[in-house]
Amino acid sequence: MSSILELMPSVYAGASLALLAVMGSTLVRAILGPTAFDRVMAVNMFGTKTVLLLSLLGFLSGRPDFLDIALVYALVNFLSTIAVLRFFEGRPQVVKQCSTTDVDLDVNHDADPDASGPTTAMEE
Amino acid sequence: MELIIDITLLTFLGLTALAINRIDKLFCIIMLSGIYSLLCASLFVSMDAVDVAFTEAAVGTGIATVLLLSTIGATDTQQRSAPQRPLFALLVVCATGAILVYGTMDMPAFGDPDAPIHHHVAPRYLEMSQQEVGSDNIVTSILSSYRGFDTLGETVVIFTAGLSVVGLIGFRGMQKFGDRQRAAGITQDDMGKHLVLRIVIKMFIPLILLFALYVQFHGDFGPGGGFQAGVIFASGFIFYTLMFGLDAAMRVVSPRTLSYIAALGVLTYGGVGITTLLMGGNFLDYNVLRPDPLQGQHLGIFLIELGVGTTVFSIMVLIFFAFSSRKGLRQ
Repeated sequence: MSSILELMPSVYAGASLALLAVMGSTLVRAILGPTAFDRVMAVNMFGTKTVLLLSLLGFLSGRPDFLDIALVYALVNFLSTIAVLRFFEGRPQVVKQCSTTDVDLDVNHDADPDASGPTTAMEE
Repeated sequence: MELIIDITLLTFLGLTALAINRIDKLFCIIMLSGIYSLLCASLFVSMDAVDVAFTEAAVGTGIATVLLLSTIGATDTQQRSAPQRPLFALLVVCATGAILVYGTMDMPAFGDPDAPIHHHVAPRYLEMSQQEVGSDNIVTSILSSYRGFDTLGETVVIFTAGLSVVGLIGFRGMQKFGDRQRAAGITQDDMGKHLVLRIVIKMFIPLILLFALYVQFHGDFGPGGGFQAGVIFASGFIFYTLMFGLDAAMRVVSPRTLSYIAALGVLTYGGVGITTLLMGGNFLDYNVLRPDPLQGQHLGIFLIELGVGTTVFSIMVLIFFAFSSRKGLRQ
């Protein structure tokens, strides 16, 4: 039992490193885009990873009572996602304006704002 | 280990800042600034500034993003390019930056125990606050008791900022917006489309409000306090507005009521100060509120945190209402 407890800090450290790697790749997607929905998804995922990283940091430093901050993010992080999707709703030309490439964005095919709104919220 | 995490987070922060500078699509900038805020909060936690991280968490991704989105909804999604290449400005910025970097060389290293900041009043706060204020969280005892006057100033600043925003943007044509929304038929039919989202949010709003109250009343013992609680409470209301429309939200609490609540919060804070004066103490000296000084401190901090919380909540919701009614006018 004690050997497991001794192992825990390195487990937390390894998990933090893995999370940082995931956050890095999410950041690349958020910066490169190219469509607006890539960025929305990236920010939402980055928020989820931040919740996990904050929890891990609490355990790494031996003070898990700071989980409150992770809880705040878990509760209000998807507010911005919902706001963005409500903002795009029924306005495909705005979606095009907000994407960085001139790729012909088939809004109705794979990135319908109505369809992606509820799914994104459900993943929280 | 913490060093690796800090360095990685700082690298991400730098990359995000560079990307914000390079991209001229305002929407992408808003998304990236959300990420920037998340990174800042992680950095604050890893550097043990938990109360700051809590504030960043409450404000950064939720309310800030929503307000920025309302702004580009009312204006434009594209940044205008500068008419000429401002070489002189670049020179000035570089020179100022060099001077600032030069200035930091004289500053003590991070975490240096001999730094002046650890010698002036900090030892007294760290050693005596348990006996003098009795609050487990030293940050709370500094903010609301030792430096209660500063926090009163900050609350008044928030109050004034909210009043200025409402004064500048205003609620002109708000009735018209409601009529238009009803005329467009997006009140009931629109709602039916987002059944899952509606139910999830209905389940979440009570939890958010409850958590805000926990943060409000738990500020003595853990991170958080009136400011963070007010922002989280306002986030709950913004969720409601996003899902059920501005009209429904304004029926719950009208802008007029909100402005009264905002003033009430500042008055509560100031009123505690006046009461302590009348009871023979200094301004905001909570010791005289009760026979036992520690109980007095506890009561005083409770009351002023309540004042901060109500002011911040109502100002945040008021600003959001002002922005969204504006957005409706432009559509």
